[in-house]
Amino acid sequence: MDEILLKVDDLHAGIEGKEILRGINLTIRPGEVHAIMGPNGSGKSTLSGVLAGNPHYTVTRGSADFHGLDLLSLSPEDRSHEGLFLSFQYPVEIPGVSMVNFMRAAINAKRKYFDEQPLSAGDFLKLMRQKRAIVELDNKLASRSVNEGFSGGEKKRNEIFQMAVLEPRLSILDETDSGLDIDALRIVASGVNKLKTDRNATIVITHYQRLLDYIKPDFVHILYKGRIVHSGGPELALELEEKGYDWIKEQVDNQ
Amino acid sequence: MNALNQYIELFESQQATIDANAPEALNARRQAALEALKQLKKLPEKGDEGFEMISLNDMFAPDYGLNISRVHFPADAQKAFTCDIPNVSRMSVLMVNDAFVALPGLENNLPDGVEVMSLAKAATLYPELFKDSIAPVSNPVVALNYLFVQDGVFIRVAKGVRLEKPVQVLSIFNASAPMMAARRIKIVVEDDAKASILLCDHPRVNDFDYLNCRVIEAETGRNASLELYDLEESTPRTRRASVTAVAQHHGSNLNLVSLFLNGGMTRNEYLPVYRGEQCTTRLGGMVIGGGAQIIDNAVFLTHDHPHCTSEQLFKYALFDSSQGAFEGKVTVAEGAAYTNAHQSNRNLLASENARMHSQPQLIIYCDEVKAAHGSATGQLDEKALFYMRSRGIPEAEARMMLINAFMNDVLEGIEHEALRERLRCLVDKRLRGSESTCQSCAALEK
Repeated sequence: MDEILLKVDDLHAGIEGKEILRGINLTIRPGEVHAIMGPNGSGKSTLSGVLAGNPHYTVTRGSADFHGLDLLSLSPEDRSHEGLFLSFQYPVEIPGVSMVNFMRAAINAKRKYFDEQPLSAGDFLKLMRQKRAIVELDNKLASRSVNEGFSGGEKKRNEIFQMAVLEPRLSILDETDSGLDIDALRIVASGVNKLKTDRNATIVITHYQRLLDYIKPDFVHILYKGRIVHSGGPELALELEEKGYDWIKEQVDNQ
Repeated sequence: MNALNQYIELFESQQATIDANAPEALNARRQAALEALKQLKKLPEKGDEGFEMISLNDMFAPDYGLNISRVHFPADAQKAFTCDIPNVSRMSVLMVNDAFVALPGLENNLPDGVEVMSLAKAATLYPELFKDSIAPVSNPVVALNYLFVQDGVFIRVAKGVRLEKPVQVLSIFNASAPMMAARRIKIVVEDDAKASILLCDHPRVNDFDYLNCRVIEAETGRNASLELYDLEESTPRTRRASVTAVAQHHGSNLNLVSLFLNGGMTRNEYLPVYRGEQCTTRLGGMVIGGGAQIIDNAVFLTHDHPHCTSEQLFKYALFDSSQGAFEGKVTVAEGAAYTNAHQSNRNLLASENARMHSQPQLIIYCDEVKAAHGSATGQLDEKALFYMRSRGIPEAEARMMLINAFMNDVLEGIEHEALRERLRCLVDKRLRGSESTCQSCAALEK
């Protein structure tokens, strides 16, 4: 397939004058699952933050084309409307804002962006019910404040629930496996797999190969010192699991 | 300029006219007020202790007119005025400047044992109720009010009567020149009775410089309960100096929520006084400041009876170059054992130029006490903001939702549900700017 969903070209970005990403190149097509792996501090979370538009980071060079749009010029909210979704490594607790109001605001903002009428109360509740089932999210969480008092597993399931509701074209799962026990991991991964179509794509950012047993990648990239230093198929993840990152580090550092 | 002298001079030259147009029970208090003011020498100014952001001297200094001859200002209430909180109460009165005007249907809607009338009339009918001063005349705002007060609103709920629906007092200014009004509201909730009262200060179309010098005196009898909601939604040209004093008798319950949505320069003092044990006092405050508004809330509370509980929660969200101040002084006197006192002040600075001064104080002279206080001032949680935006919620909307969430626990303190939802929607409107419509309002009107 020739259609390109995301094309990142020579992306440089940093925080407070410190360069973290030093020339990322990445091409993602619809239907693909890409895994980005790498040791601590290699820039994995920065990459997801920059793509989602976190104002914390400054882009210094490069471009990102998101199905024909200049992604980096869009506000975080417009990136969301256009189909980008970031599942947070640390989902934020928002005391006093109920999950229901949060989701209603998110859905209706998107509808407004596409000149559609707000969803009726009945349709909204129906949608919530349907999407909750995908990640087996307890109904009682819906009446609580966003992520407040949620367990680690519930927070991650809540992320995938939101992803299910917003139906993104490109999902970035930032360390979605961290803090999950094996059962929660299975539920989250199965949620992601249920949402997979040949029109959308997923970037899985992870330390460990474990998650990739459940979410099968088509491509695996190794991020180190702000660059993708090695790309391969799913077998690369297994190789990393076996050999660790040292051989990659040596290869790069000795160049 | 010494603003105090101009009021003393005015009073001394006009005392005959003032007295001639007011009941004896109010006139009887003027001399003591005058002496208290003469002892003061000057009104507090910015920087004086307890006045970090506001100057009473500046507030009172401009040359306001006082309607001491009681020229009647026409107030075709229905035409002249629509409140932002309609339909909550069928028991409404209007205060035009300082004059009492009953709104249509008031008499018919008052249940047995509930009196709502002009303060002047009440002072003539029940002079004995005006002998006891709950608000201290040593307080300059109280003294200035006592000096000039001629009318206001009187509300009494008789022993054992449980009034669930709120009585609403709408205050407006109507004048053709700058004006000061010495407003007095007197509330008596007798033993075992319950009352809910909503005070609204509202703007008018003809906007002059107005000074609202207001004293609210309330008394809650044994095991009585008073809910008092004090909403200011006036104009940037309005100045308000207000003192609310509540005397609580044994086992009584006070729930007071102060809400500032709009105004110019405001100083509110809240002074609960205990006259018995086992009382509960809950004071909530919400301020949404913008423009060049200055909003100053002060609470002075002395626990001098055992087994009383007081809880304070004041929250400010300040935009533009608005300034806020909160001063809360809780004293637990010797012998006030098993006091439970809690005080909290939380503030959001939504702009670089907004300023907040917070001074919670706790002074304890007694051992058997549970007490805590705290204050925090900060900005909106950037992480929460980005999280919301990443889900497609536009930044302005996300900010509004976060500020609403921040104010939520103050609004939750409003027990009357319809009123709470109405006020929630006013807050929403205030945060969105006036153009937008509020869906929950529309729903309530059905």
